[in-house]
Amino acid sequence: MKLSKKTLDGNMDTLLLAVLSEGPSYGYQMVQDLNARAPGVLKTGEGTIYPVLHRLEERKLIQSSWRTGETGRQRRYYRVTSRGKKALSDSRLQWASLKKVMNTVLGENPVPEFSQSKTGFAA
Amino acid sequence: MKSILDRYIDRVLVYANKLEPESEAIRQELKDHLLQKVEDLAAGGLSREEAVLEALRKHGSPKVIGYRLRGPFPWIDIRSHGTARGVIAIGPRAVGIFAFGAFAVGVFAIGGAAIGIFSVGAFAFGLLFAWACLGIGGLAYAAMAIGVVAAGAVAVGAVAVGGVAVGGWIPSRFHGSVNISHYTANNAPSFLKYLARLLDVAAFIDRYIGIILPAYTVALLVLFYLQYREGKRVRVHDDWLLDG
Repeated sequence: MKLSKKTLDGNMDTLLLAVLSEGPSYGYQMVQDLNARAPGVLKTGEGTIYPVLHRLEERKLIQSSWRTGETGRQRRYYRVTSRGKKALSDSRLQWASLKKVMNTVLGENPVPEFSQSKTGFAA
Repeated sequence: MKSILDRYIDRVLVYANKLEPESEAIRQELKDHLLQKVEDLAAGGLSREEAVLEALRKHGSPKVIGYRLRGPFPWIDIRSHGTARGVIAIGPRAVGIFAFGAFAVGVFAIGGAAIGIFSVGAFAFGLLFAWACLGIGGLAYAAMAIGVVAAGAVAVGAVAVGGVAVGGWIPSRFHGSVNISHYTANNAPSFLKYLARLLDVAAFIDRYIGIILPAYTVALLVLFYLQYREGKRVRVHDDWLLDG
């Protein structure tokens, strides 16, 4: 099941905060992490994480600093601030609550499974 | 000659429209990402040219990234590059939104002028006369309710015309002769009288329409010019491929 672009865009903040909560990182590395854990999550383009990162920094949820990377180029590293940690913890709670509500209403397996018979689909 | 990566980043920055220190930081950050990607792809077996194109393809549309980097609604932003450097200019989105707003205001202004011509005041007097006719029976109540509900935009104009007719017809037919109602305009509820005064914007519009319309037209032309100029600026920096 593919996630819609809208769903992904709306939750990219939380995903990036979660990745950064494991330690300081830079854009390319975060993309690699996300692609490894959830392939296809950046289907609108790897570069779309930068607007999200800059927005998170404006909101003071993360902080950046320039360091020389192993390639010798200047590289921008991000790390989560205490405010960002709190925001991530709030997001986790929100997700847990939402998941509980959805599972309660839709059931543990919300996607109905159909078996095909000669006369058509039967539940 | 600029590399293809630099031209891609140029294009992102055209849409991002950031000031110099920030735009340079974005350039450096994106370039580091793209170079790293190219190196990894080349190490995976692609030729340098293929790796560059693949890195750009995976990075996404420069237009999408640039606009997203633009951040919150740019009421006014200062041009960071090009011939208009340092000149305060309105970003394309802002121009679009302002132009749309101005257009909407213009439509309402012209609509208001039309209503003024047909006299909103007459509509209010129509309501007052409807009140005067309440004694006739249920039909008058229904007419009153319709009159109030029809206070929205275009309906106001139409009802105003009806109001003029009612206002002109009733006094000439019944004034001082036949007493068809116990209610008159004089003993109408104060909110109706207030409404009548409030709705008499026709006089204001009639008085100032000579200023409102030309000012609106000039403002709209200026906004369209700014929109055109911004579009031209983007096109000049954006003569490259990779759209969308």
